[in-house]
Amino acid sequence: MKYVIRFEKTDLMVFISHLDLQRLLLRALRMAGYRPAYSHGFNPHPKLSIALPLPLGFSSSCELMEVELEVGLPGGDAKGARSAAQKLNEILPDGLNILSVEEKDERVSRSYSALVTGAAYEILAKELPDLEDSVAVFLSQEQILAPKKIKKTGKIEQVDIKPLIQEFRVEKKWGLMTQFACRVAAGAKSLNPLTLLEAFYAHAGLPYNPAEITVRRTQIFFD
Amino acid sequence: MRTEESRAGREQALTRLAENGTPAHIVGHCKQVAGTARRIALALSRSGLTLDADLVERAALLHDMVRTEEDHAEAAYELLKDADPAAAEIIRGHMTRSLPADVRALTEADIVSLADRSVLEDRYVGYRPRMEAIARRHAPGSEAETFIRARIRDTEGLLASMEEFLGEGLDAVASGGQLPVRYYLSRVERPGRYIGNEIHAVKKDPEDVAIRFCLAFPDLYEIGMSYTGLQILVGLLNERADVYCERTFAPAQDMEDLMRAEGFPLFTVDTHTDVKRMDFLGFTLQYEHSYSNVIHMLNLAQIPVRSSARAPAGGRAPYPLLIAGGPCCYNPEPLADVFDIILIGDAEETLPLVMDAYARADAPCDTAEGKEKFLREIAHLPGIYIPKFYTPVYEDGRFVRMDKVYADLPDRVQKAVVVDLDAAYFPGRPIVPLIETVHGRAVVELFRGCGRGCRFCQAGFVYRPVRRRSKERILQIIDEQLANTGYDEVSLLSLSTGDYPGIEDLTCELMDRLTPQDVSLSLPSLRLDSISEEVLARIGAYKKSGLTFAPEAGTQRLRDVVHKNITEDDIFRSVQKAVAIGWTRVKFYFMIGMPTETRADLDGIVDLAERVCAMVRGMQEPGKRNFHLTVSVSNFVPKPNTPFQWARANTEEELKEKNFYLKDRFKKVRGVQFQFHDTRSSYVETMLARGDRRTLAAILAAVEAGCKFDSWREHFRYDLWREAFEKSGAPANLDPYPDTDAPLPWDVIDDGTDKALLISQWNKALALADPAPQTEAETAPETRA
Repeated sequence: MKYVIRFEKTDLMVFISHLDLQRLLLRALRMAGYRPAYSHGFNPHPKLSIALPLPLGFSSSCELMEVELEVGLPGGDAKGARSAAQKLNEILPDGLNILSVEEKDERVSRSYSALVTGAAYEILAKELPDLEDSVAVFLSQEQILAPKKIKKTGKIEQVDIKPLIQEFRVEKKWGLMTQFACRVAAGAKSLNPLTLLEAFYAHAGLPYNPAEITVRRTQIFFD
Repeated sequence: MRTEESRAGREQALTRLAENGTPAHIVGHCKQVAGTARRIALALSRSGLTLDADLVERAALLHDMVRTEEDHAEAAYELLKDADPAAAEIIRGHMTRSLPADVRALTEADIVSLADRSVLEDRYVGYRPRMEAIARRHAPGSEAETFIRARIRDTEGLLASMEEFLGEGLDAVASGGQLPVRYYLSRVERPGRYIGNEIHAVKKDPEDVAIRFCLAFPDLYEIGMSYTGLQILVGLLNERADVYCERTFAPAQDMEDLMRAEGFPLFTVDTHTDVKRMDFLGFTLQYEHSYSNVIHMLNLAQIPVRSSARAPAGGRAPYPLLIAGGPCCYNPEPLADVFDIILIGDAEETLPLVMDAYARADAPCDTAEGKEKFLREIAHLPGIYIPKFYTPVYEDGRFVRMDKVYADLPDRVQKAVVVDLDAAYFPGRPIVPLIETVHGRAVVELFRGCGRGCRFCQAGFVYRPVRRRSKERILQIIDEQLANTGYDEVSLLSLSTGDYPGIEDLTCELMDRLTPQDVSLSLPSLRLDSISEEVLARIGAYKKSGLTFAPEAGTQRLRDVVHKNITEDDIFRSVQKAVAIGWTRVKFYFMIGMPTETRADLDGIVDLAERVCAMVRGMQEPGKRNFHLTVSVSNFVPKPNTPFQWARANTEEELKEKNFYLKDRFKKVRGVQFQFHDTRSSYVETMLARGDRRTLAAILAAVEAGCKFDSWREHFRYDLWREAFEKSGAPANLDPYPDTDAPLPWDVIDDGTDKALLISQWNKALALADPAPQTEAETAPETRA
């Protein structure tokens, strides 16, 4: 039986990596008394996958994980799913919060990770001058170049990230903070929102300090 | 201690913030201001002012609840004036309030404003730095800038009078020792090492406990969290309502660099509190190579290394009491000048007694007399060594005796012993690390102690007598741990797993239970000869990772010298058994440099390996041979409290020559992989293991020169250690105690074994020396003089 579990990752848990998070969720499922199914083969691994890995340091209100269980949830209906969410939340540390547990729609045959097309982020940065104009100028460039490490060679090349930017704007100001909204491609071709932000800072002539920026993923888009 | 009303008030304020939809970063700010304001109010109340800390906290929690609105202070006032008029009134004026000049005139409202002006986002930064930062945001000379600078000046008097009134720095009081570690975490590798927050990590409100304890493991988080002893002690201490036990570990290099650059000290992973603020800081000493890290961590904690430099001052204890425990404490002398209290034996027995005495005495360490009285009281408890009460005397560079500071102190400190393992605490809900550690698995200790009595083995002597945990209790602990951790591996812990009475029965039953749960069983320290075919076959059925076997010596003579009670027949039979069932990988452990060793004993290692391989070749058909033998050789290090404590240690050159001799000989042996250990690190281990109080000078010099993480090959610096011993003049003798009649620096510790027994064992070993060594005689004891 396949399930889709939606959860938030916030606070200190943003410092837990994708692989550690997978291991942690697997342990939590086992602690809750569920038996994740394992793949057959020489080196069996649990059938558990997170739709879109979240970079270390980002928080998220919209994470999604698929898991196959050997035995379906007791009750098998909405009530069983609700109590599963509650059970998992009692186990998981502060900063991981299960929002819902649902049976996976049988019509969706592919895994969610294969269906990801993009993701939306909210970026909070230190107080900045009025930026609306700079953002417009930045986006109106024919090409937006950003450094990218090429996996095969390890070399850093300038690539055009413009086709990967779906939205980028100043959303609001919070006293000392400026909040950006952005939506970028994810999945087969993807863009880290901080790569976009760094390119923007460089273009606008602003000093870029990643330690003063927080990023929250707010939505994942699927095919 | 918080009242129920206080707790409810705080909860209600947090609910209000949530219901109002206040954004997370503003809530973070409000929480930090509330904590800061509450700590200031509580400290001032303790010093005699009448202040309502709960009101301060509530108002601070809600002060920015509607920060998104135009005049947010007024707007919050309107929202709250009916529900909580006192808090509403404070919030209304929090932006504009001017503070009084004298501490005695401070009101709850002033404290909220002061706290707000000391917190940047969710970090405590202090009043001056915060206000300076605001001033800098305005044009120099502008009206706003001038106003803020004037305000900073006006507040100088208040801050000074607060510090005088409190008797300590305002920053320490206001931050509660909490450090803004979180802010730096995005800049380090594997930040999960520093966040605590694990499953089953206990969280307590520091306000609710009388004693704050921090357990320190002198290595990385990943190493420390795999150590069962730490889990036992953290669990045991946190079961007490009056103690909050947190943890700290040695930071990795990148975090250390940040700490130095940003000027923040060593912190607990649980609450990111400055470890200086703890009542106790307890180190576990598992291996001598961690001594440099102990000193290194104290340096990072900004705590003076010597206990004599940590006296109470101004009616306060500026530093925690330093405690050490663990097997290295059986020779406590190298670090004796560092620790206030050293626990000898099973700490499950002694730590609670120390906590009880400390709680009874009520902040005993705030004055020099109180501290002395407290230490004197506990010095009479079994298993507690107070090193500053014992003064070693040296004559002609040799240790001659230990003088007591008080006549009523025990001459020797007896080790503490857990008598009944079934009744002893063992964690059923261990902390489950969030990041991958060395061992992520359920662990249960089968028994403590070892009945074998190998003469080189410190653990074999100091952990006596053998105390066994019942099968029922073992199964119960495993069930509990698996249900509470979700681990998929169980490991059975002991010095020699195969010696557990009924080990076959236990492992069979465990495998029956674990296999259906997709859980595997690991049996470290398993002696091949002590386990039946059936068990071997069952373990092998799902895991053929390899079997280990420790003959220790290459000849029967030397095996008799070290009292390793196995024969060549045992070895051959066991390997035959294992291979017949289908095992293909076997590892043999040997030691070189042991007393009475000759070239014949080295040749014996090679010979034994060759014959084992030949036997297996005979068992397997040509073309289907897949047997791999690994021979691992380690260097003998004489350890205190063993019969071999009087042994002369090999020089580094001798050990190296022997290793290369073996390596050369093994080159010609087919199917055997030969491994050997770093001889240089063994040299340093020898010096530290049998050191005395003068050894600390060398440890300090080594750390000063940059030594740390000595158990990590890539960090160990032999050159610096050699130089440290030479420069400091600390004893560096390979044969420091040739005479069994002479007193030993660690005689002050009574580990339960009669010294006469150790001497007789030593003499028995020497009597078995080869009367006519074939080649060299330098390791034989007769040549010593």
